[in-house]
Amino acid sequence: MKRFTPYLLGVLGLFLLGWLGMVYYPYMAFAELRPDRDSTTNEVTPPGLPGTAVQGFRVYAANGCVECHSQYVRDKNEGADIDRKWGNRRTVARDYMNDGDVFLGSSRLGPDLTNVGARQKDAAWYYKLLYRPTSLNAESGMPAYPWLFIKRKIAGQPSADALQLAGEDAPPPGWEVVPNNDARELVGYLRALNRTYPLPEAPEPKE
Amino acid sequence: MINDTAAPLRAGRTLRLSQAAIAFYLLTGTAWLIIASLFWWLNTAQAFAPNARYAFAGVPWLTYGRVWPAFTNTFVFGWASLTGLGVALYFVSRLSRLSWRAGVMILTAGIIWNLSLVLGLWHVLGGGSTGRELLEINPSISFGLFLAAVLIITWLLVEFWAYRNELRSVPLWYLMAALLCFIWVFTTGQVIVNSWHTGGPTQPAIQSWYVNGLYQLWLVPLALGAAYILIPEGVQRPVYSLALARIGFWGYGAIAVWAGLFSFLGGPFPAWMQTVTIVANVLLILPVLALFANFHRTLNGRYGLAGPNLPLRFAVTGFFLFVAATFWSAFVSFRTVDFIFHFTLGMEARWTLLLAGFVSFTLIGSVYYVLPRLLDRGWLAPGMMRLQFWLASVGVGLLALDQVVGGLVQGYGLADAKIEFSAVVDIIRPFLLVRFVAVGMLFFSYLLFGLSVLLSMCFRYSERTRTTAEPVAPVETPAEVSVA
Ligand code: HEC
Repeated sequence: MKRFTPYLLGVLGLFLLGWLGMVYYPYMAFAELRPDRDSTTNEVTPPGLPGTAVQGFRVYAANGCVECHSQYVRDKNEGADIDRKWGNRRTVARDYMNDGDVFLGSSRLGPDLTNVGARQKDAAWYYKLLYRPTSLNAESGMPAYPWLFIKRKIAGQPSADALQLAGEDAPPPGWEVVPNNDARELVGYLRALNRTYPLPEAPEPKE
Repeated sequence: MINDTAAPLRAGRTLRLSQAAIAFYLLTGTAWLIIASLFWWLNTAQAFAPNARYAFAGVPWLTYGRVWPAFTNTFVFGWASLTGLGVALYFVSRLSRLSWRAGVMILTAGIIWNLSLVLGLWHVLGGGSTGRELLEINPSISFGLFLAAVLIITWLLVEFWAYRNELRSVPLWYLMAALLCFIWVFTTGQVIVNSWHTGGPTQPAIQSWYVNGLYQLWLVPLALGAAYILIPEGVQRPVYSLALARIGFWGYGAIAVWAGLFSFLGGPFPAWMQTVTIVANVLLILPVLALFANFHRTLNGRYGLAGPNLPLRFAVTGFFLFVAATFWSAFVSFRTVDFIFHFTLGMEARWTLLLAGFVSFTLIGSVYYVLPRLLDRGWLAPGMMRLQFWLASVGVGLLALDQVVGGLVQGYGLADAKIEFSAVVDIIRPFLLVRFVAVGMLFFSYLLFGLSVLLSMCFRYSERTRTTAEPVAPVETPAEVSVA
């Protein structure tokens, strides 16, 4: 193998084959995905994220939540995700067709968040978790995100969305902790994470 | 030989620009390694104690999720890629008797690369991460990296062609293939994922292939190329078998491109893509066995030389870590095993063996080999270098073991829905602590590495200093001779 040109063609050819299969194929195939319309209820799935939630994924990306949290549910024979109630069925490509960025994740230091919006609906709970995870679980493995909140003196009436904190976590009397815009967007995103709608290609497993 | 960029610099001859440029790559790459491992170490502390003050809890730019991409990006693009480019430029120049006339361009590209990385790091820590693995740096900044890579590699190909060069030796196959693949993989990530902003399920599919491509198609062939120089030359023997070398090369290339979906097995992708990935990871064992046989036969009876010869010692240890990484990847890709290990610390063991192990060991060995020849310097503190070797070896070994056992515990915990999630978090704390200790060892090892490089920069070459680290006098690479 001394001559350069045959070698070059060989390397590029082998490479092209793999590239076509693993890059070009998904690129073309996933572009064909269409939402599913239920013939009786006329419901369209997946519904896609509501407008208020789409900004939140920026905050999710910027703070690297994906390093500890995954966003996909595996089939019953591939893991205990469904038994852990992280989802009622496995997630498939179509589930993500409306998403700009997809944070599948490859580590589960924290629980899967594919359907966290279906489990936890209360915004105040999320704020508390993000501000002081230790207030919900003293041994929490999740870091705090205090820079998503504003600590300020109460002027007149306390704000409606001020965090209800107790003990050491509570601000001094006359002060309050309120979520900033980033926190609102992030929690909007988290609450919208709900892929429990039905899709024909991923039926709920029977017990 | 006189005009070679790689010709040894001896008294009286001035440093040429292309040589200075290569030295710049190696030195800044080494600096990035220390920075990267500092982030890594901090990150392992944060995983162990996310809300402790000593882990910088509450500091936005040092939060877990920003420190991690800071670590991976500086490690892969700062240390491995930059040093790798320097090493590749040096070896290609030497093996093909090329002298880089475009010293200015190589230097410029290196400066652009470094500046983009500094800027990108600053942006990621400041909260501008895109959250896409190894593309976290904002696309307009990482375009600088892309530009620099294109500049270097295009020029290299042009020179190579202009001289009607032949692939005289085995390492050259690997080095050229690595550079070609790098450009292709990097373009795929930068253009398809970043510029076209491909969303939906396409994004993670392509991105996973891209990440794997950076490891398996760029850094691994690069390190194999270096190993094919350091090992035969270290034992003063030609490569054992050219046929085995061919099988290893083409087999590896043909299979590794298909192994891309590794981190998303069980994910929302067509079954055939996952099956192909699994099969590819298992089949990779075959070309790696061919490589192993070849290196082993080359080394046979002379393993002892790896004691005093540090570049050889790093290359040989690195290669064994590569074999381990290949077997581990094959093992964990089986569905029943993946069931347990997916999403756990065990997934990191592959990274540890491949990147912190094979690639880093081989690159460190290459730096120990190249720098004195390039700049006419000697190694002053061989004792420190040996300590560095032992710290790195024990660090990588401990880390991999910890990740495998920790991953097993975590995996069985996660697989049993009756165990509370928070109990799983608690159960792996001791493993996170050991991980912190192991990465600390690596950090100190890299610090010593940087110190050795710094020390050797300060003093000129002399026979005495050269011989302490590497007793074998430099000769023509036997690998070259055998194939010519
Ligand atoms: C160091 C890893 C880590 C990072 C980074 C992290 N988390 Fe967590 N997260 C956890 C752990 C561990 C838990 C489990 C609860 C506990 O231990 O307190 C958790 C729990 C959660 C939960 C509750 C899930 C449930 O089902 O109860 C949500 C929501 C959440 N995290 C969101 C986020 C967001 C948003 C971010 C980024 C801003 C983030 N996490 C970053 C580790 C992490």
